[in-house]
Formats: sequence, structure tokens, C-alpha cells
Amino acid sequence: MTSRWDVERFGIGPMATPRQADVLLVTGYVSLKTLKRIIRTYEQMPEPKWVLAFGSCTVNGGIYWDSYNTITNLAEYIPVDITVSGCMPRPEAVMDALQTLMKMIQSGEAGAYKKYKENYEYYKANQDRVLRKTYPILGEKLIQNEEAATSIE
Amino acid sequence: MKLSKEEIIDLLKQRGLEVNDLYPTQISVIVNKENLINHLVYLKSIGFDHLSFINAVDFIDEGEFELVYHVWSYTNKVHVLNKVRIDRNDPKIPTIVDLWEQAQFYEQEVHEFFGIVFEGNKDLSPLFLENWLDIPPLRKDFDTREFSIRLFDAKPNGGDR
Amino acid sequence: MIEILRVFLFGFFAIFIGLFFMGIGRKIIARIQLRLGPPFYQAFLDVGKLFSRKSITHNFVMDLGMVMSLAGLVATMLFVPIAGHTAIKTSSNLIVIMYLMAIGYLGMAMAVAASGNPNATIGVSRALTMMLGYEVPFFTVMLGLIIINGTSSLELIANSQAGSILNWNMIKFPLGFIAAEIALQAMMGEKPFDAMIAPAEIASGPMVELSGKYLGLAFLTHAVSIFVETAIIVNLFMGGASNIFTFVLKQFEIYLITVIIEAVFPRFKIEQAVKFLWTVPMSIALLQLVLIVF
Repeated sequence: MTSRWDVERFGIGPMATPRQADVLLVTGYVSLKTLKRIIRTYEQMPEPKWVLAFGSCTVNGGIYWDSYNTITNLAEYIPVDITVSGCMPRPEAVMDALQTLMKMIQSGEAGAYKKYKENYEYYKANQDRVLRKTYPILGEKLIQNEEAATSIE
Repeated sequence: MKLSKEEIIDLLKQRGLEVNDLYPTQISVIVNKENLINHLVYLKSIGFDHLSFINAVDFIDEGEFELVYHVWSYTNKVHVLNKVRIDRNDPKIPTIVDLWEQAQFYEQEVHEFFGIVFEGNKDLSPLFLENWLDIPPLRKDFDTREFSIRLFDAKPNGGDR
Repeated sequence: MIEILRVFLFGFFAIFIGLFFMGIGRKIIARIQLRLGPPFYQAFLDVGKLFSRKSITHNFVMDLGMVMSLAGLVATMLFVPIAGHTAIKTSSNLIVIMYLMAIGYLGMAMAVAASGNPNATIGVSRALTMMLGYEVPFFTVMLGLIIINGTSSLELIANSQAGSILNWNMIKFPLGFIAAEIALQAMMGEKPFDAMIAPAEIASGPMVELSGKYLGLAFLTHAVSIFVETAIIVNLFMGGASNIFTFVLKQFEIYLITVIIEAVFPRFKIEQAVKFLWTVPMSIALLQLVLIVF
């Protein structure tokens, strides 16, 4: 957040490592490669932790909904506390979401990280389904690909 | 020695190639698969020292892939597009890594997204995709929408049918 | 019993003032960058929040190292005279202070090396290299002051500047003050010399694996180090003070200079920083030493 909007006045600042963070901001579309890193980052954060999903792409895929490499709904893979819709949302929307999240934390509504522990099997199954595919989704596999893969090994 | 665009077109036509004049600094050459290496070596010898990119186009109706080798010359200031057509059912082409080292990554990428095999390239491991089991995703016969619906449970219009 | 209470009182006082300075420092940086900035009590809220969070430890050495770094700095703090009060009175406390101050950094180095994160290791090696860089000019300046006063007691050096403002070492030895001020910037790890933190580069360096309470301890360590380092400069160059309020005010002036430099400068690379510290402040300090001796 730039100095014009200045989130530091609410005591919010960026942290360089997940160990020091309270909130994970997922900004924009999530590709499969990113998802792996997001899950790893999320699991490294100490509790209590919250997730803010930013933009339409994290809610239903946005304009990338039919891409072969971007997931459509982030909440299926990690628990999301609050979402900001829009493409792109204004900075004010993010600040409003963070303020709302603060209120939700105080009233005890925001506790999605507990859900992650309770329904770990559900989230893990979803993550594995997209990250550890064991069969081709659309059938038939290219033969040359296989040959190349075996020749490398 | 600086060559003008017209001189380059003449030189290439003398070698029996089909040359198209596209833009003030851009020409395209149609090469066949057997001649490719010879042709690129010749281009490099007349000052085309920079390989910018290799890309592929899928002409599914004609049953062919077109590979485009973008070559730029810092001395002649001319950008040459070398177009090669290869058979779609047996997509193989000799590698040019020995000519330009940076071709390694371009060839890896084209192999990953189109399944074209560069013969002689030792490392064609995936660069971008992880654990990819389907046909290469940028081929025209790959249905990306169906893939997204099946794997990610994607819904058109954000689920608002 | 009274002695122990005194020690605790000094420690809490240092932490309180240090956190207060940190909060005001953040506000001042924000105002320089045309922002509103956090409230001045933000540092207290941060520490409170950090201590209430779950924290991840890697092994016993990490716990020990973090406590050692805070304890090392609090121990240093006990030898620093604050407006005539000292928790532990010794005749040559300047040397003891410089000796003990290294323990804080060594504790930090131990903790982060135990955490096993490569970024943290890079950060701590940079911090120790930086220490090599700033201690040489700082010691040279101190050597000059010890020679001219014939003592290495901070109280006596502070008392020798009593009376008018013209007696301050800051006015009498301006070159030494400038050299010490540059070294102080590096000592606090503020902007031109913050290669060991470098959030965009090595993910906040030594702090990369610290979560919750450990980060809270690192905050407190930083607060005490701010207090100790400004207090040394106030005693050496600004004549100490007769009461605690004036003393803290003088400390704040020193901290303000550091913060203003911090707000406008980019970052040196580590080898550039050490090269700079060993040339510019070092030559100024040597010139001052020559002027004092001859």
C-alpha cells in the first residue's frame, strides 16, 4: 500500500516472512504453481492466522475461469475469512476489508484457521486432487511426452 | 559490415528461399526442416547474432506445426522470422542449442506447451507446468474449458447460470 | 533486595523509553513520507500482540539465544549512568559497556544460527561484519575522549562537561561527534546501514524465523539497544543531565537525528557499508584523535 493510502495508520504493515504474519493476502489469480506455495506459506504461519482473498479471481476464477492452470475458488483449498470482490478492487476496499476483519476478530467470527484443522481431510483431498494428479483429466496422453520423460530419467 | 534490408532479401533469394517483406525492419523467410540449421548458420555468419525467441503455431486443419525462429541483428537492424513447417503427427526438429545457448529455454518451453521434440536437446524437462499428465495445453485440440470444468469445478459466469 | 528492585526498575525503564522512541520514530518517518503514520503507542500494541501469539521454536539453543541477547543488552544498560544514577557503579564502565554490548549480538547470532534458515544466517553474518565496521571508528573516538579526560568512567566524562553548553564535547570536539554519530547509525542498524535486515532482499534477515514471543523479545532487545546507544552518546558528548527528564529529552534528540537520516536514505551493500565506515568516519575520528593528542 502506497503512502497515499497508508495502511500503517491502522497499525498494519507488510511482513517479509510468514512466521511474522497474521493475515495472508492472496492478491489476484492463483495458478497451480502458486497454490502450492500459498499452502506452504499458510501452513508456516503461526496461529491465530487469517486469509484475505482479493479480487474476483480468487472467488470464482474471474476472467481466467476457463484457464487450464488457474484454480477457480480459493476457499476450496485453504479457509478464507474474508473476500474482496472486484477486478481490480480499489485500495479503499482492501482497507475496509482489513477493518472489517479486525471487527470480526474482536467479535470472534473470524476463525477459519480452526476450520482448517477440523476439516483437514476435506482441504487436503481438494489440494491433492489438483496438485497430485495421477491420471490425465481429458484422457489420452501424448506418447512423445512419455518417451522424453523416460529418456531424461 | 552493415547490410541493408534489400541486400539481405537479395542474398536470401539467391539461396533459393521464399522471402516476404513485412515491415520496415522485419522480413520473413520460409525454410524447410532439412535446411534449417544451414540457413541459421548462414544468417549468423552475416551478422544475425541474436536469437530473440522461438515460438510455435498449431495449424490443426493442415496437420502441421509452424515454428518461428526470431533472429535479430544488432549491426543490420533487421528482424528475420524464419518459419518452418513440420508434420503434426511426428513433430520432430533438430535442436539449435549449439548455435545459440539461450535456445535451451525456448525449446524447453515449446516442448512443454506443444509437445514438439527437439532432437539432440538433452534436457527437455518442464519449465512451467508441474505434474502435467494431459496432452500439451497449447495445442488446438486441447479443450481448456472442459479441463477447467472437470478439474477445478469451474462454472460459467461465476456459477450464476 | 533493594538492589534487585533497582535493577528491575532500570530494565523496565529502558524498555519503556525504547518502545516509546520506536513508536515516535515510526510516526516521524511517516510524516516525512507525507503519511499519517501509526499512533505513537503502536510499538506497545505490537509487543503486546506478539506476546499473546503462538510461537514456533526450533530447538533449545534458539530459546536460550533470544533470552541471552535481551539479557546481554539489559546487563549493558545497568552500567550506563542515567542522569547520575547507575544501577551498578564501577570506576571504568565505558570499557565494560563496549565489552557487554557485543553479547547481545552474539546471543542473536546464536539464536538465528540455531533456527537453520539460510536468510537468517546471511543476515547475522552481515550484522557481525557491520559490527566490525562501526566499532573501529567508535572506539577511536572513545579513545580520544578517554585520553583527554584521563578516565574511562562515563560519569566523570559526563561531569567534566558540566556548566554551560560550550563545555559539551559535542562543541569542543565536533569531528569526533560526527564520526560517532555515523557509527551510531550503523550501530542501530538504521537505513544506510541496514543491510542485515533488508526485508526485500533476505526477508528481514535475523528475524526471518522469529514468530510470536521471539519476535517480541527481538523488539524489546531493539528497544533496549536504542536506549543504551543513545545514552552512551548523551553521556559522552552532551554532558549527561541533572534530571531524568532532561536526559531522556537529550536521548530523543540523538534518536531524532538517526530517524531523519533513516527516513530519506536507501541502503548500502554490506561491503560498501564497511568500506564507508572504515574510510569516512574513521578518517574523521583519526583526525580528531590527532588534534586531541598533539
